[in-house]
Amino acid sequence: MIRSRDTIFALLLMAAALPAADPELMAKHEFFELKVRPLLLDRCATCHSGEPDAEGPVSMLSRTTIVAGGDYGPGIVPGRSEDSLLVHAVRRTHKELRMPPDDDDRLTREESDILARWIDDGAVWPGSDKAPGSKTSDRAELHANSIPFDEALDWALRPRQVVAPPDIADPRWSTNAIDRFVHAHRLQQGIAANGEADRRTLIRRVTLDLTGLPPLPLAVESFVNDPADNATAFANVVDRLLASDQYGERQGRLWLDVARYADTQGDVGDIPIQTAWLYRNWVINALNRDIPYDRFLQAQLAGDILSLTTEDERLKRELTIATGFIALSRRFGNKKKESMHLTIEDTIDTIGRGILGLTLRCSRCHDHKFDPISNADYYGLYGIFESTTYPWMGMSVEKSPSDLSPAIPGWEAREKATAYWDLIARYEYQINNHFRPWLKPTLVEYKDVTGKLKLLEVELATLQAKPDNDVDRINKLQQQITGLSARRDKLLKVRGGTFRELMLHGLTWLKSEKLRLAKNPEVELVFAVGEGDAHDTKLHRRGNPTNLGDVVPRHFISTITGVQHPTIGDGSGRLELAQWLTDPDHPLTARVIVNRIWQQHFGRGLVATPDNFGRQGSAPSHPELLDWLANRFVEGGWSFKSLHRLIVLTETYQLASTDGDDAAAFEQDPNNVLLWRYARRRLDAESIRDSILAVSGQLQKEQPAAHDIDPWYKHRYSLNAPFHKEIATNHRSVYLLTQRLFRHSLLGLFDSPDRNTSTARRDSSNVPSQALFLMNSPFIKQQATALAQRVIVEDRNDESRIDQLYRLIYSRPVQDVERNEVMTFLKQYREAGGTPHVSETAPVEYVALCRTLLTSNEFFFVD
Amino acid sequence: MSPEEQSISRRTALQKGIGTLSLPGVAAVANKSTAAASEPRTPHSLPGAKHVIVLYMSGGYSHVDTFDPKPRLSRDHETSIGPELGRADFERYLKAPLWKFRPNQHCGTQVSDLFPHIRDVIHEAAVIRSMSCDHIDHGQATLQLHTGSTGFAMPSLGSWLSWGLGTFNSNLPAHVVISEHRPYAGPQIWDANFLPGVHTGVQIKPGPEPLPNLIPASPAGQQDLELGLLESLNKRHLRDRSTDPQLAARNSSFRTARGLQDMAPEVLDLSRESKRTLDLYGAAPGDQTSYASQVLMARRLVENGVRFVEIVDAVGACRDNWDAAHRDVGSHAKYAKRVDQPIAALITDLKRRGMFDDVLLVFCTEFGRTPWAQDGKGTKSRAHHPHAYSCWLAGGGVKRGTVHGKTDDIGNRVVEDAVHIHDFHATILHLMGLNHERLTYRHAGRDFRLTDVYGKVIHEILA
Repeated sequence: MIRSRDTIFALLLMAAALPAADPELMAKHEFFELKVRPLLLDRCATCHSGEPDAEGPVSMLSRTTIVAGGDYGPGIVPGRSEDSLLVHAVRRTHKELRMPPDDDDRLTREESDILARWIDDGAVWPGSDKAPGSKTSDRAELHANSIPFDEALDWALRPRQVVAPPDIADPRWSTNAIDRFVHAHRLQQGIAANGEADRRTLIRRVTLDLTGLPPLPLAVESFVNDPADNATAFANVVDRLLASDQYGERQGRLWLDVARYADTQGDVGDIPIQTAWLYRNWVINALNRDIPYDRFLQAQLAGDILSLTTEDERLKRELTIATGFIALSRRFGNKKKESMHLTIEDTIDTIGRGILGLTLRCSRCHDHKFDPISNADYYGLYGIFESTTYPWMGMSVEKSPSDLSPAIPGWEAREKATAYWDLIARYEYQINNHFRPWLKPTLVEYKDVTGKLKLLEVELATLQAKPDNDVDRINKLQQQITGLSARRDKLLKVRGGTFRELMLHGLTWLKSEKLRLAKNPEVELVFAVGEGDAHDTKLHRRGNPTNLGDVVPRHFISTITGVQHPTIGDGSGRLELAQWLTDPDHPLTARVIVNRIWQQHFGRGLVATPDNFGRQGSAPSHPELLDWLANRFVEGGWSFKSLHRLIVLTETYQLASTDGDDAAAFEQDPNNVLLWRYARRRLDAESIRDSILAVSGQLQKEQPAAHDIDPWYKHRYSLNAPFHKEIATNHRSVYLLTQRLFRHSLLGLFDSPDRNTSTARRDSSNVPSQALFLMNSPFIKQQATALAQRVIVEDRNDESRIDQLYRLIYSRPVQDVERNEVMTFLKQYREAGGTPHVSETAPVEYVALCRTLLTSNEFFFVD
Repeated sequence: MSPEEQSISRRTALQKGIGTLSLPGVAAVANKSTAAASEPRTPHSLPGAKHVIVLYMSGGYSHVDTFDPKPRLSRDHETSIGPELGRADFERYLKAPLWKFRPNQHCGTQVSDLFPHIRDVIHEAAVIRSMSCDHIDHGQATLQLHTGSTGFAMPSLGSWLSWGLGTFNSNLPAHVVISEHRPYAGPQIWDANFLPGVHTGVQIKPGPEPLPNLIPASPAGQQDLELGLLESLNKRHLRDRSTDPQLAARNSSFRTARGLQDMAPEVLDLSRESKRTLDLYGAAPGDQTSYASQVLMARRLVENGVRFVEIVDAVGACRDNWDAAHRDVGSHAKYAKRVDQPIAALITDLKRRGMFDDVLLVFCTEFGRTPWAQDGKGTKSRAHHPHAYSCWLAGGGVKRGTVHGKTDDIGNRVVEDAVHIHDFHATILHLMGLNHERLTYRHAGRDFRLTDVYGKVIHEILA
């Protein structure tokens, strides 16, 4: 500290020696030396000394370092004390930064006023120095302070282990590798498993699980009566379900949770994305075709780049559409690109939690607090997406779309598309600004000049047509015309020529021309990403995009070793990222996805936090099984259908869900971590709606295409008038219009996923507002009525109608005691009520019965 | 149990509706599987208040025309204070307030003539003149006022309180928002987000069907037959499944819904109020939709055990509200007239009923307005201003008749006792007996809280 004092005195002497000619400047110098510098020295420089080991990172001993500031941004804005961090810090009006930190040391009002006055006067500092340039830091430096990798804690970042299933003597558990792992764990804890579920329970379970719909009564009966042994009969059911189109609709929905799919942008106007459905249908159809997971991911991360290597136009189009995964990142605010750092954060978060099971987003503002992921790792990925072109459907203050991709990409098509959107934006700009006061003089003069020109030209033509033309007059006219033409040309170039068409053709022409263009794009344009200007990005200090730090070379998570890190070539790096993620040796990708599939089947992942395999996540309950499954998945060609088959054909999957033959099991493991029974669960939102529609016979099974929403040029959406629509349709729920800012009235009630970020796990709440919906909503009434009509028509008497209802809704015949109860109910209902509740289409007591059965626990839960 | 595990079981328990005070039987079943996690959360400290009523003035009222008197604005009306930062071509001409400020006779706090009724009771409140937030646009600032975040969707204040404290009346939701129109940022401002869905605000739209699906689909006698059959079906179903708390919780949700169906119209029915009370608020008999009626409904909801009620004041969607950007600030008169008497009446009424100490009133807006004219010298509008604005708190635990914080001599920037919106939230939670640093929820790999990594309680305004 003594050393720094010496330096300061030397500086003071130097400063005093400088001549100052301007008296005003001299006064400022004097004020600085008398008031400001002593204050900075006494109250700040002890910590903010500029020494390498200084406590405060920003030196308060030079104007340059104060202006440059630190993590919170510039320290002062000369001339603007009210916008200067220094003033807010010392006055304690900043929400976080308070200087000096100790409240007892706080500056007096006079002292802070001195600093404010100095800044307002331009922050004059005798003998200021020059600003340092920004530099590219080397790898080691960038990661210097992040948490180091730890073998045990960071198990998920280590290569997968090759493990053999343990030897099990019990024949019930010894035939299947998964069962052997699970049983070994139970044996260790001394927990006995439940018996097997019966065939009825099993077919309802697996059908809802794999397709999201209840089984048809016929399918139930044929399985129940199948003379084949259980394993064979069940395998047949599973194979039939895996081959059905409904499989992809169910599995697709689960992937769309991960991909935080929505049909709108999430900006203040929640502007709709007319072509988002292409991505949704691509996901569903790809899963139905059982496209391997590695290729599934590559297409979504870099499909546009991969499409350049194929000639097949259909494939090119699909690969482009697949990048909707990135393109559908959330938008924020009212201007394009203003909050691009948040949109990219969403991309990185979705890849992080969705694919890698890592909370990469936590390292946006600083090194990750819990995991070995550095701030620089985040910006290594950030550069990749900053080098990517994201499409826009427009924003509330920049109305027209831009950067939509040609469905069949290529340089020429991309250039054409860019020119197309630029032209529309150009016309739109003129339309939106034609009335501005600053433009008015130009427009008035243009009208005047062209009017005069027209008259003169007519006059000239008349003169020239005469046999004895007056040469002098003609010359004079021609001169005037030349002068006015030059003026007109100049006017057309006003404001860089951005109002040329408005002057040449007028507003009406502009509007109709814009509309004509908007309606007739030359090529099919889709909401997909493209390659942008490839570059490395600068780190955002404290996550603030206006406070840039050093350049970070694009790279992947550096602490993940044991897998090759491809060198990023000329492009954005998305292709290399896709290669890195889908490398068979990648420790996370396969583990994370098999865990998600496991969670789908058992209600709980082997890692209970499917989007967090980091230190704050849960440790795996069966680590060897997780690795064995991941290995098997990769070796088997990343096939989802094989994985599902492998899992649902186990004894573990086919356990009964009842309370437990062994009461001790429940006491010891109430959360069923050891899988001693099948975990009962409530249907998710989509399965509730789809099952009700299926049972009532109203479900429309075919795959729909685009939503019934207007094209972009028909409406303008903004904060004051956002897009909000709910389209009545009986298609499956995965096909419903999904908005980011508004929840669907039915799905939202039953815990549908967040449309704004990647969802790892569905909640399942039981709240009164759901009950009210089931009791009173028009939707339930309609479906109950349709179902009542269905059984009234199909069956003759109450007994067989009731039986039919039980088979449709619960996949089982009615029991005697139940039939009697329902018969009594029907009778009482008919007798009850002075004002009969009239329904034109079905007897009210049947509507009431159907509603009650459809809202019961047996229908809402899967055993 | 890992922290994740704990939070799952706690969450699971709460989702099943067990976090409420009134379902001891269900809680007992749940306790078998979820251990201590299902008990209702007790406050971290002795609370100042038990309920909150938020009076949110949508659009951003001008602080210098309402609660923050600045004589210099009148003195230097239409004089320039120089260009705006980053807009060298925009000269800032000061603009005098349109209304006169006068002191409250008990405490001397100055309030403008826009709020004569509120001025008469402002000695019951603590006015904060040093508010600030982080965004200049309505959508983001409204989101921050409600959730702390300007961008990413986070749980709202009401959801945090509902989650943190539970409810006194399981027949009514713990978190209610009276909003005739869609507010800025839509239902996100009352969303529970990653908190269990039960904590999402229930929107009441004043009118014939204030809550969705409230009107019975069948006449009462018949509906009860349906619910009776349902109960019986579910009971039989539960027989081999008695250890599953979800099933029992779902059964009870129907009973609660039945209660709500009866109770909600009753609670919201203002015909039960005396003429004297209606007159105090300025509500006409039979009126169920005016702002006065909405304030009365808020009081009745709180009286019936609802934890958190917010009234979003916007006359028509987002356009017809306090926003005076490119619009005459004089329009404030219309909105002030609408809310002034009812809000003052609420304070008087709560005091009469002995409820004032149990209820925390929060009068707030998303940001202030510039001390200068927005569209140049002599123009009528004022622009958005997140750097300084005024709000007030009153009721349980709040120090009465005080003014906290100070802006500069034109109301441009805070110069003393800054209260960022995070501090505001921390203080509200504190008044409700919750420590904002301890009210955390584990989600996506880390603990989240309403105040992010910020927030300090304003002790100066606590009683």
